[in-house]
Amino acid sequence: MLAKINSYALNGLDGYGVTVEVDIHMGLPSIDVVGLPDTAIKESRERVRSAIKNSGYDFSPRKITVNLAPAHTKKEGPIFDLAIALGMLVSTEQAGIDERKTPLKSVNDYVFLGELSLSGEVARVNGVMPMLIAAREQGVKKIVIPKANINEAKYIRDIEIYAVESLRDAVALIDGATRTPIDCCDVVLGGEASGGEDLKYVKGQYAAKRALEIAAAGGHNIIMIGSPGGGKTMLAKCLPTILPDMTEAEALETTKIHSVAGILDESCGIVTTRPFRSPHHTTSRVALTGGGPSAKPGEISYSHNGVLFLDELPEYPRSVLEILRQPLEDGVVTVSRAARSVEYPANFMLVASMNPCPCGYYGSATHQCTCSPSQIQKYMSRISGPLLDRIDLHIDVDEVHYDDLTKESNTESSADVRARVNAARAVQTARYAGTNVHSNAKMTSEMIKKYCVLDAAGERILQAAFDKLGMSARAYTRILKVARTIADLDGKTDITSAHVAEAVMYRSLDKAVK
Amino acid sequence: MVLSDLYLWLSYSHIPTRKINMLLEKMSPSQLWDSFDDDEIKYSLDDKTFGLLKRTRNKEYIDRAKYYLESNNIKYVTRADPIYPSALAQKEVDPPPVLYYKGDLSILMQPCLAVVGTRKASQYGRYVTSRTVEELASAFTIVSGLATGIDGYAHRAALAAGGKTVAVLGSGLFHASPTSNLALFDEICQNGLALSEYTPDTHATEYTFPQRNRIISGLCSGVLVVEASYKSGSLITANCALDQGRDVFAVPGDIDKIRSQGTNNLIKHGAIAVTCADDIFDYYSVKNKKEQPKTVALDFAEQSVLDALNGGEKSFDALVDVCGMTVPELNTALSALLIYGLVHEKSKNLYTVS
Ligand SMILES: Nc1ncnc2c1ncn2[C@@H]1O[C@H](COP(=O)(O)OP(=O)(O)OP(=O)(O)O)[C@@H](O)[C@H]1O
Ligand SMILES: [Mg+2]
Ligand SMILES: [Zn+2]
Repeated sequence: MLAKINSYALNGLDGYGVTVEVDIHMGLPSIDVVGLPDTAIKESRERVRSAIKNSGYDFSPRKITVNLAPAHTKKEGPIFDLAIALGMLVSTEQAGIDERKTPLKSVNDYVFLGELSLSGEVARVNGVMPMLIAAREQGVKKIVIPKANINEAKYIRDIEIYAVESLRDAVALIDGATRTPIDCCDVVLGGEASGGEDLKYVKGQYAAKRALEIAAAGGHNIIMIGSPGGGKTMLAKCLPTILPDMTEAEALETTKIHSVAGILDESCGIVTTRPFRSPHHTTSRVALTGGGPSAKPGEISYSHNGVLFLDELPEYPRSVLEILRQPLEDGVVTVSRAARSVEYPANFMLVASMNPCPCGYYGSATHQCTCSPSQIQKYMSRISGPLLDRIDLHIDVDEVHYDDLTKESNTESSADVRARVNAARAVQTARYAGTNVHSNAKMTSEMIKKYCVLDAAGERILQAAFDKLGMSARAYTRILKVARTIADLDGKTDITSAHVAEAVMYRSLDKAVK
Repeated sequence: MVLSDLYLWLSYSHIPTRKINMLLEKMSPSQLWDSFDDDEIKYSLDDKTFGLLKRTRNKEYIDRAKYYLESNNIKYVTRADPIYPSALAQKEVDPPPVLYYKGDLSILMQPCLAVVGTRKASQYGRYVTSRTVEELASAFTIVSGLATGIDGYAHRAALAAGGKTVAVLGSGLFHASPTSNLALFDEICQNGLALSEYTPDTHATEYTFPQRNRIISGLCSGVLVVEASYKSGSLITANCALDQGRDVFAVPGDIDKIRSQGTNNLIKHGAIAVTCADDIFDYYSVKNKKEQPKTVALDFAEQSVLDALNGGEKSFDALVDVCGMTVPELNTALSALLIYGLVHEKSKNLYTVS
């Protein structure tokens, strides 16, 4: 008898329904899986066989064909295990039938997701959150997931979600046992990110701290330049503690990616604080940007709606830096696999640090630089102009004097800064409501025209800055966006000349390059 | 053969200028050309020099060279020409037989001042160069060597102030370097003067740069060294200046910085210390034609930052503590002062009044 069980698969973050068809016929015992399965699916024959036996069902040798429809898309992972096992049980009339051995229609009301262990337990799978969202959008009413995935599933409303622990559980469900769907709960956002350091432990560095505050408030890309030991890495590590709270939409977007990638915190099930990713410069290109045989997302997508911190920027391979240009511009990254390409969101705030020269001490007040001018130039040119063009804030971070380091001063804590950042971000969220822009940094040129109007005094000071400080034209929109954020932090609707003047301070590379 | 063609012959023979001038002490160029086949001359020259001269002693060859220069828009002036810079025609300078140039030679008629220094300039050196040269350029033609660092800043500041500037190359005009200054080179060819004693196709070597330094100092009445370490090439220029009887000026620097050791040492040995353009104007009794900047009305915050800096240079953090302002307030005030040009960043994160 032919059995059909519904399951679900992902292409990037988009889900689509897969029908698992199982047929039993005469012939030499074998199990064939067709419909472009990958190796993990082919291996599921063995898992399914053991799981069925160990759950106490009959698994006498037969000739079995499993088809994953639609047959033209490549399918991967162990996520179809449960559906295949159920298919086999239904087609051998061990489940999903009534007393008169006619198949129950209710079987096809459900979509099944889950990996099986040899003992018949249903194990956790990746990508449940995006599949639930996609399934809901496509009108699926009931979906069965592994109990281990319950934490990420509970935030999805308007779809009945059933959590099962074992194959027997699932069989009971389709045989008509009454079960209640899992309880939904609200997304609770905010709270301090774990792992960040508090700004109050950073002595001095007032200008740098202020720049970080502006960057966090407006989501601006920022680069810190300075000699070794100046505190660049330390400052960046403080950033998680001052990032603004996520909106619910942002949290779900980021969770979808983490869910697919399998890096979601199981106990929590949702990303509620902005991710802060700091991949090392030796990290492979695929790990950074995504890819591989199954076109998985990479670090730059993990940092979606959060921070991507690239410490020692010039050490990263040039090819990686070039790839960053697309996500910095469009907020998405295209990951290619054999036959087609998948897009993942990658709307991150880039935080980078670098030394000013190979030895690190060019321009330092305390050390002598030993590099030749051509070495310095070569070092700087490792970072291409187009990449620098997309960085709004440049700051010099120089060593703090020993006296200041040991001085007891009452500096602000991260919580104080975060309160201001949150207020400024709330203004932006309200301003950009109904668009897919969340922060000042991502303003379109149309929005810049509308929201970054300068008064005469502001125009004058910007003009003077260009003449006097030799700034390049590309700095223009960057300064406007930053001035907008400074005004938001200041709680002002209009950008004043004071805001513009401050924004001009954060273009040190523009002044240096000339 | 006209005399200028004979000088061109000497230049194209690629014999070191020093040797040419030694020869010319004994005989005129025409004597050398005419009696070249005499044994007397042959025995008075070493083989290499003789070979080089003989190879190029060919009227056709020289005509071809002239045609090549003309078709490539390279102008030249020989010692036979009345417009040859008189300052160079001095034994101590070791005047080259020919100067190849692009641009306007007449700007050498104005009083000339060389401004040189390290290629690895600090922000201090950069600022001092720009500020001083902007004023000096109102009365002097600024001569330098097109290198990165101080040289480049000097050229740029002179151009920005609408003044005249001369780049003396250590290579032929077709091989100007460094690449980062090529745009500057083009601008100098348009609005100033680029010159070289080397034929246009000559590549620079480690010997050509020290050689051309004598021309930089030779063209000028004085040499201003802004920043130099002990081994800096700009000290060679200063030495040439002393040998040629030119004045040497130096900007004093931090005694702990390697980049200042050369300049401070010059001052110790008698160079004239320069802390502003007026020092040089006064020395030459020339008038500073640059008008003083207009006064700007400062608001309270700006004024208090300026007052704090009048008490000595300060870092950003120190200013926050001294002025008692919030960081955004200070950023705004400081930015305005920087834009007005009343304050500048002396080195990274260290601010001082202009
Ligand atoms: N302003 C400061 N307040 C407190 N501690 C500081 C400060 N600046 C530096 N430090 C100390 O110095 C150490 C070195 O700083 P950090 O590693 O951040 O420097 P860096 O700029 O990243 O250097 P590199 O270029 O070598 O990576 C920090 O771990 C910290 O303990
Ligand atoms: Mg570091
Ligand atoms: Zn260095």
